[in-house]
Amino acid sequence: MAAFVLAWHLLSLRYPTFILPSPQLVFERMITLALDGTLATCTLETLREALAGLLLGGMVAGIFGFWIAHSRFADRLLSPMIVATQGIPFVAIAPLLFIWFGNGLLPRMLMAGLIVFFPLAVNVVEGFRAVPPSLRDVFRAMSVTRLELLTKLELPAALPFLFAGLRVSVTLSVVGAITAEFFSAGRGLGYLVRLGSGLYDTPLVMAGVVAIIALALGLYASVRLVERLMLIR
Amino acid sequence: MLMGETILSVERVRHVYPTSLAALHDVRFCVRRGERVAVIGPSGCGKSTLLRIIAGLITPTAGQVWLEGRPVAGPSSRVSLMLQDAALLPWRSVVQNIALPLELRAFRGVSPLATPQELVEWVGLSGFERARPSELSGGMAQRVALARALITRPPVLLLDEPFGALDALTREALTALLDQLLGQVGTTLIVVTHDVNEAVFLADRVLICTPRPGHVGAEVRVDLPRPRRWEMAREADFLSYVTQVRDCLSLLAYRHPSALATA
Repeated sequence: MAAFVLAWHLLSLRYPTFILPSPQLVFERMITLALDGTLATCTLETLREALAGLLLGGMVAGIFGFWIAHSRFADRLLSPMIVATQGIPFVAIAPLLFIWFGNGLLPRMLMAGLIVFFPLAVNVVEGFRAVPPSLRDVFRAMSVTRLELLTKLELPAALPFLFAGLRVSVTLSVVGAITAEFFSAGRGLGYLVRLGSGLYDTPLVMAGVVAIIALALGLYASVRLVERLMLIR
Repeated sequence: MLMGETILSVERVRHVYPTSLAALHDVRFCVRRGERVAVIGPSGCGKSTLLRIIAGLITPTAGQVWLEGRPVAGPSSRVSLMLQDAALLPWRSVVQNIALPLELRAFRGVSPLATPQELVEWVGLSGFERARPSELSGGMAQRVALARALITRPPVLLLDEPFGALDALTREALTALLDQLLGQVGTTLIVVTHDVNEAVFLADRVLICTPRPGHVGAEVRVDLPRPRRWEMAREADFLSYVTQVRDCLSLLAYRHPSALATA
């Protein structure tokens, strides 16, 4: 990390600020942004979009994943479609979302939701399928209700898979939110970066990028922490 | 053990799998309360299918199983099932695994046989209460599974080759433990096995299945004192029962319905 910053500093001496600002300049810009509240506002906005998208994508992935794992019919019907959604270049449909849904939270969380849906759905399906058949038999023989089967066997057994999916998708949800912000005026870290690029204010662009990376890392670390707390075996 | 009225009867049960493999053909037998029955047969004769039908996990193609005077239409809280795989929940400790059935709605109001703590002692796992299944050997895991199967005081206990994956010494220790526990609880036992010694050791009656499609082709009554000990396995009485069962098995292997048809 220190070596990286040092190399960055040495390199920045050779180039003008609008190409490569020095780390000190970027840091100063971040402090300014933090002091006038812009950084917090933008980060919170992006965080809100990413988490809302994660929740939405997670709920849909949970329902579809559960259905696919439990029904051969749903597997045949839905799995090809879900794989096909991976062929969509999400960047290309972002403008459409804004045309259809205006400039509110909805198109941004949809963008994040679309991106996280696939990794989450795949892991939900794998998780539910990973329940050993013998455990399923023993549970059924104890005349469990559907709810008991879900809460006492299927969900805990699928938990490691759900967390694996969550680790991937929590950072992807930030990517989704940022992508959406690039296409609309006003809010979020993505907008900050685009604004900086429009003004040739490279320190602002880099400050935004650093904040985005920090946000993604923070989210990833939070998921790891919750995972570690819940999966003590 | 005082044996009472018929607790379970299997009437003309036939089962054909969708792949058109006939697994069971006209199986019929009765079990009295408190009785211990072993079902033995060559592999693939459908004995595991039979046990699943009795447990209500599979609906037979034809025929009916009666449990305590009622037709079996699905899993029942009156029956416990134990498989070759201990099937413990890896995220629960030994005690939590044993207590699992008590948390289920089906067993609400059932007075447990003993506390999970006591059952841990009964199956000889004192000191392992908080251990996770991954820390247990195969035999210890089956002890936990046995405690879990018995905690609800089930009138009928179904075992599907429960000790088949264990080494010989562990298997003997566990069958002796099972014999002793059943003596205390008075549970009716139906055990499916492919081990002749195990069948004779555990059972009052050994039902011998024909090869696929299986049906009960012969029956050997085992009149040995209880509790049973493995030292008995060296005595003449025990050995003669073992020989009888073995003879029946090899006879039935030839006198198969399909063989009869061509005769």
